[in-house]
Amino acid sequence: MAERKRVGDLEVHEDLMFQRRSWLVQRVGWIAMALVLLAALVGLFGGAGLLGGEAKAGSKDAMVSVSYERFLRFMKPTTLQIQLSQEAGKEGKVSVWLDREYLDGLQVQQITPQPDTARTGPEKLTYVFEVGDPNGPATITFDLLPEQEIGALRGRVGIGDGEQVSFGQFVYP
Amino acid sequence: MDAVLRAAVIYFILLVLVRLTGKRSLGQMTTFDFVLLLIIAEATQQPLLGNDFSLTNAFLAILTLVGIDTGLSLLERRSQTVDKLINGVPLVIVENGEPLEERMNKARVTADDILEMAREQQGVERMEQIKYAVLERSGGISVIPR
Repeated sequence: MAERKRVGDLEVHEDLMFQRRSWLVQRVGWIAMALVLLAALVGLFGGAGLLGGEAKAGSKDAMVSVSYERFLRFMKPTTLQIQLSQEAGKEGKVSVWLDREYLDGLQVQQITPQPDTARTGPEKLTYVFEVGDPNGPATITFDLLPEQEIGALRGRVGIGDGEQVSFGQFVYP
Repeated sequence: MDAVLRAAVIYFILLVLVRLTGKRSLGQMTTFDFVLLLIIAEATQQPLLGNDFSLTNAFLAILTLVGIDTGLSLLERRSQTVDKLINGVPLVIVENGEPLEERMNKARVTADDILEMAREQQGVERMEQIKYAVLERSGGISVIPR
């Protein structure tokens, strides 16, 4: 190795300048750790919290609205709630579509209630549901698991040919 | 490919975190340090292996970790800077019976820690009987009596 350093009678490779810089970096590191923990508590990394909780997005004609979690984590189950206004369900059956690109990145674990039929399409996956009570709004719940993609996800939901709702999520690795 | 990436990322995250918490934390293991180590090991297991229960996945993860470890040790030998970055440098904390307070504070070492090591290693009774005490890179303290 390099020359033998000496401190008094000791042959030891002390490097005070490096040591002081290390201590500084350490302290900066601690602040960074605290900030990350704070961000997590606030909800920035998914889970409960001010920012990471549920968000809602609605269509312009107010027929469909979606409740979704803004920040997701890989392999952590999440719930997508689609609320349909009374208008949408008045015919007894309603076709809800989700865009295929969004669903490709997720595994659909459960759909509550179960759809009558599911139709594939080039860009959309359409589910047809029976509406039990045409006098009130209806809610459909999708239990999803992000298992293919990480990063930003854009989803779209709509009814038949009506207006669609766009929403964005982010999946942490 | 993701088996290798996961293992590499976890290796480096742990390396950085351990360096950030400073030598004292893992050099002398107290009972609680041991508990902490166990918990960290548990927390690391799932993201390291993911949903893949195959031998191939485990083998690749292990190989990556061992490979990076070996690679870094080779790199340390060639470059003093890398060695210092990864392992740190030793620090003299007692000189001729005089504890160097500022350094001890920054390194979060107390006089009691030093005296304990001095008793364990050399049977030394008092601070003034210590010629040198060095905080080694591993986090342990070595004591040289007069």
